[in-house]
Amino acid sequence: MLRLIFLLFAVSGIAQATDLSERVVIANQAFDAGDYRQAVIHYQEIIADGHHNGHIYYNLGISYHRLQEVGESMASLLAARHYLPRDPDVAFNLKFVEERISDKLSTVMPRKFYDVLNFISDYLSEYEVSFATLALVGLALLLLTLYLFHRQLLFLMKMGVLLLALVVLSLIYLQVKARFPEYWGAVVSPSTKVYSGPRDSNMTLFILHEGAPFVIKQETNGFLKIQLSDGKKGWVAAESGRSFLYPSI
Amino acid sequence: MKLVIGQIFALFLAFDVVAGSFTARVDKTVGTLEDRFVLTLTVNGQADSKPSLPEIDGLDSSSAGTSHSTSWVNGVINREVQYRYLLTANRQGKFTIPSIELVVDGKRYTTLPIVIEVQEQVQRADMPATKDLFLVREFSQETAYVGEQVIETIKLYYRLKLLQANRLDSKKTIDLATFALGEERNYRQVHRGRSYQVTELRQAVVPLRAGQLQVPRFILDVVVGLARRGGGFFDDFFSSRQERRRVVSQPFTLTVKPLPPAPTDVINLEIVGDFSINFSLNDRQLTTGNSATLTLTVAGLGNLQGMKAPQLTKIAGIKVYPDKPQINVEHDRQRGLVARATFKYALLPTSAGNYDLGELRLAYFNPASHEFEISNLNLGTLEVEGDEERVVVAGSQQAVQVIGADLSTIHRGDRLLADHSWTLDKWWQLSAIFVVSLLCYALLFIYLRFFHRRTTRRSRAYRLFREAQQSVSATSANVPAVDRNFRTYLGDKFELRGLAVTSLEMRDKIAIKVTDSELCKRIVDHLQKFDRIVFAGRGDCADIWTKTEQLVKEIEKRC
Repeated sequence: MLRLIFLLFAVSGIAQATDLSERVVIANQAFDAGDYRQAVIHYQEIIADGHHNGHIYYNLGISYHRLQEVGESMASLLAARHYLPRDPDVAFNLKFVEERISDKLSTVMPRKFYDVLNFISDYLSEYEVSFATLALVGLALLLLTLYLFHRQLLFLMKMGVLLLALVVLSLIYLQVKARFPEYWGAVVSPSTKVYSGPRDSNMTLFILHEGAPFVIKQETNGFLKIQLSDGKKGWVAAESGRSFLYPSI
Repeated sequence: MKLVIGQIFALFLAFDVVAGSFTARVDKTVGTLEDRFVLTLTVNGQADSKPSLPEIDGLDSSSAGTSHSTSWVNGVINREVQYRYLLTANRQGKFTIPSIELVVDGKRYTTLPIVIEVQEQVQRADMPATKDLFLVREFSQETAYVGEQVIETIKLYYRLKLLQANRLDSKKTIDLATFALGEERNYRQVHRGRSYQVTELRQAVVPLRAGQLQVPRFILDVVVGLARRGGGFFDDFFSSRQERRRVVSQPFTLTVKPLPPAPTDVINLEIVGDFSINFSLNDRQLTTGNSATLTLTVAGLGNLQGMKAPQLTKIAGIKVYPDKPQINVEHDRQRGLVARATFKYALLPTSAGNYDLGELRLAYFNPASHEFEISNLNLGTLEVEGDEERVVVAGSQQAVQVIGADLSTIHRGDRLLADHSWTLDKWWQLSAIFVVSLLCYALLFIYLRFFHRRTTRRSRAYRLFREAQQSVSATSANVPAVDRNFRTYLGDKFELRGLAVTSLEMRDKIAIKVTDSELCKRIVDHLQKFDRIVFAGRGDCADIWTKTEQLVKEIEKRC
């Protein structure tokens, strides 16, 4: 019986993988054929099904750009960067789009000396950090086990303890990133006002145009509190922005 | 008047200049460049060393030998040594032979300085008929332009046997460049009724600046063979008397005129002479990527050595690459310097089309016409066929110009199938893995620390006992050792602690571990027996060793 259940799960996994693979191929084929709108639809469906892959967001960003939807393209590429922080194509395309938006803004927040966590996330995604953590755990335990059988090799114990300390730090980092992520998004409407509060009756502080990148800090009453790379802050209507990283928009 | 004074002075100096017993004299004090002066240093007595003649600027000296003589006058022996030197002048003027010091017979003697004068050669080029050896120099012209060649002819007339002739040039000048023309010619010529053997040389002289330029004298140092006085028929053949003579040409001043200003709208080749300028183009129809060769030739009478390649005017769309110039200069005996210069240029069109190569205007100075002559060369056209694309030439690369920009293309492959998401659930999973791993490690540690060691110890108890017994012989003296080994065995086997106790206390411990009461009693009895032997000195210890072994085996069998 157990064997049958296991077999069913395995088959189900294989079927899902095949399905996903086919859908990705179909989406790419639509892009190659020049049907960018169809490609966008396919990539969005893949994402909506819970498959978060940096390359999918990357392809989505290019497809949006072909449709002249700069805001969506920017938001997609920012999501791609979140999952692929070191990918050169992502960096290139992001810079390409950044140079063509109306507002002089950057997709990189100025770093302060205590922004160690964000410094790590510039180079490693959480996914990669978790793999690294697992590897550290395995290595630490291996060293400590070896020490049990070779008590004279004290350095094994020291190395093992050090690696365990790194594992703990890594877990802390991942916990912080999970609880306090940096939600990058972009303005998708041609222009939008930024208010001093979460109502459109508040004072207009400034106006942003399509493609302007921002970081979402908070959401209230259908408004997003955003921060720009030049330090400006304000509130924008949620429907005028787009972030693939933020759960509710 | 000068001649008279000179003669009187010479007469005075012909006498011995007496300075002790060391004297110096010359055979004459006035002469020409052709003459040689004989300096004689006479030493009477015993000199410490040989007198040395200092260097005299403008005079060349060579030793003419030493003579020794001894005379006996009135019973007094007089020794005399004479040192002779031949002095020849390189230039005209007055020269001073300085004082010479010498120690003779322990006393220092010093000669007086002697002044000799080398005068201008008084005879003219048409030497008197009585002269057996003379030099005649002729120039093709007395006036020339800067850069214009002048032919110099040098004739050596001689009626003597010429054994050796070496050319001795006077001080060189940077204002003139000379080029030998051909080989020397020898022939016979009658001059003023006398037959002479003539050796003729020619050279081209090119003035390098304007002004009155002194052409350096032509000087020959010759060795002639002279017939013996009163010699017979064979004397001419076996002439043994040789004489060294110097033959000097007359001075010559060349008047050099500067060139007039060159025309402004031409390429000045900066050459002087009579030239013809031509050009040729090897191919007037090309395809892109191929080149044509333009050859420019300058030939004629004059010196072209060091001539620079003329710079062609820039032609849009054509790259010009000049080749190394080829210049050949012939030293023609009759005509002088005959030169030919060839300049080649590679013309490489960068794209297809018809190119007008334009006109080349080259100028040079012709002394015969006293003006610049201009050659107008119409280079014609060049037709280039082929693609409009640019031909890349080495050295002509340009920075890549960006004419468009676009995004990088989409990603493909299996990397799109991985899930990169990171959620809090995954964090909990990761933490759980970490904690479980730590727990597993802790369990392993405990097991190894406590159980594994005990198990190992228990399984090895009998072997350890056997090893300990082997080092103990079965004698009465070793009973305490056997007792210790037995207790250790019991401790390992039943994991007992604190074996240094009495047998009654041991009984309680063993009773917990050994369920077989009969075996337990036997163990306790055996321990009590050890106690009696070890502590009381009573009991039979003869076979304690064997009985202990048997009991241990029994325990191993039953526990």
